[in-house]
Amino acid sequence: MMPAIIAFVVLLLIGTPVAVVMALSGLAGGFAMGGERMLGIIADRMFSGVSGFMLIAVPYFIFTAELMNQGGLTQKLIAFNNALFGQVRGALAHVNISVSVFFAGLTGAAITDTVAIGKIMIPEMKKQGYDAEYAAAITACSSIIGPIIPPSVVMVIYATLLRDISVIDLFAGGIIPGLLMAVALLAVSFFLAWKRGYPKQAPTPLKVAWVAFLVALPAMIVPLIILGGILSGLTTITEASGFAAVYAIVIGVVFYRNLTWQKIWQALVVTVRFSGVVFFLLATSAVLGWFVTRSGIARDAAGLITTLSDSMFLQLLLVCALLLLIGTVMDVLPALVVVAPVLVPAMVQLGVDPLHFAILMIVVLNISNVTPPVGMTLMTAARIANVPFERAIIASLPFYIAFAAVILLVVTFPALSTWIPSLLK
Amino acid sequence: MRFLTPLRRLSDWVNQAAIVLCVACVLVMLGISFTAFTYKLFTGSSLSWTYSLARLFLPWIGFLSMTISLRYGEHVAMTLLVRTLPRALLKLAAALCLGVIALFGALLLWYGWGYFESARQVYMVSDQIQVSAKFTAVVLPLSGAIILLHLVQGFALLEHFLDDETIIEELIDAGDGEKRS
Repeated sequence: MMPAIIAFVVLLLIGTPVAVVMALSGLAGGFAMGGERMLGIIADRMFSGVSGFMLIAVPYFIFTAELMNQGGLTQKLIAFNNALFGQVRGALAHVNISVSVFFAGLTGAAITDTVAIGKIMIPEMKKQGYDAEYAAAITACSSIIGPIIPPSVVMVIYATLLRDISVIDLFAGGIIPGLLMAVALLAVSFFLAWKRGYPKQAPTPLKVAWVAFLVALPAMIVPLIILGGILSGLTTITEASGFAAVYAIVIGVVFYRNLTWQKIWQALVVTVRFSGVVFFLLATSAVLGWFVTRSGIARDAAGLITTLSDSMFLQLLLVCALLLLIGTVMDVLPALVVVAPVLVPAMVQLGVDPLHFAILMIVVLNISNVTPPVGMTLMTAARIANVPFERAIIASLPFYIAFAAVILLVVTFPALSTWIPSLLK
Repeated sequence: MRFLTPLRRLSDWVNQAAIVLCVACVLVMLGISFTAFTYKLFTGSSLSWTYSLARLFLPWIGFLSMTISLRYGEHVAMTLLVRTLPRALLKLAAALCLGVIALFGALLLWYGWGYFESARQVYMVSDQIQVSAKFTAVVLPLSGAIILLHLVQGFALLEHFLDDETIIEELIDAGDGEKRS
């Protein structure tokens, strides 16, 4: 086990791509166990790591989101949400959150939400007198709802990694915690708007609101098509995501009329580039996962957790703290592929429901995406707002408290993540 | 280092070819999935061959897109600590990283070739369509070779010399749909 751990830490510290780190540390462990003949597993494991049928949906999801981005969907969603919240104090902050909830169903990637929404909302918020750091904080904190509310690429990857959990259950399980995060953020945003006296907007005439709704409707039903098809059992995830991609092209070209061939090509190029990041991690995590399974690290991890506390509640909180720590220095996806093969079997061995733990893990790792020192999502929002990262962190503190409350709720009440999936059985 | 210039040009050309091939695979796979969906919608029954056929393109997309993301330095790495090192040590760490990536590429090429040679089974897409496993297995040594070729780009493959500002600027530009080299 030691050669694998040493290889892992050293390679990670010198800045080697995480995917390469996982492959070579898995191989180092394999070599220590069985010599040179074990190295051959790199081909077999990497191949099976990217061959799961469900992974067909990954490029489709990325492509759909990119098409929506290129097709200028964000403006339409903002216009509609503005009509919903316009007269409330601090309207733009609430709009920022509600747009993220709608957008979540389309992209499933926090950083995409931050860039797409932040570039429109942050300058507008600044113009209307909101603090720049607050605009950055709320944009980043609300965008992490994306990978939690389905459909979500992160969940597809989780289901591929841990084959004993279905993506349908994950999608259904993410709905309540995702909405809970949105409600928690809205509560903080309402409170701060009232306390700081943020502005209201002029009321939107009903006719304008209706038109905004109609314009946004074709795009807003994309997640419904995907989710409706999958959860009802009418279609598989690949069929639904494939249909959504074709539908996104059709509405972009025919209805919105702003999707050119050049933009479609651009979306395809972004799709293969981002798919590469995902597939690289998945392929090599299969090598590391192979070693983890054989080495008994998961069993040792379970043993270690039980020595710290007998209470499952405390064990889960400790694991959440560990995940937050890992998430502060690593992005969601690599953190997930590195720790899931070790932590999930360990927690299941301790009696935690696999679905409950899966959702908790996805929630916590996403929250850590807006915490220092890495917090790429918050860094991006701070850059768009043109404020120092440190000020954006301070402005995010009230939202961190809201997130802590959500984590506590999800830990305490497993039904929040298991109730909807149980209805589908 | 003049010999590197034609190799870098070759690496760029191979990368462009990989992008085109990968996009073609995505589109063909999408066409197959969409056909399956519409057939099911209108007839209520499934086309049995669509799953197996679409799946054949997945390893190609998976492995080729890996080389593309590596070429653009879009792979995920933890460079927060290493970037605090003095310049000389930072260069040493970056050189070590390139060596490690070379080792990975060489292993993928060597053992991928063995995997390709031993792939003897046949995918039964349907009674009429049967595809040799070599069609998908060949992408392993191929991507290993491409990774080794891309190493001629040197430190441009790594994030070691980029600060957070630059990375974020690139992200925001990408959000604009601007084309990046």
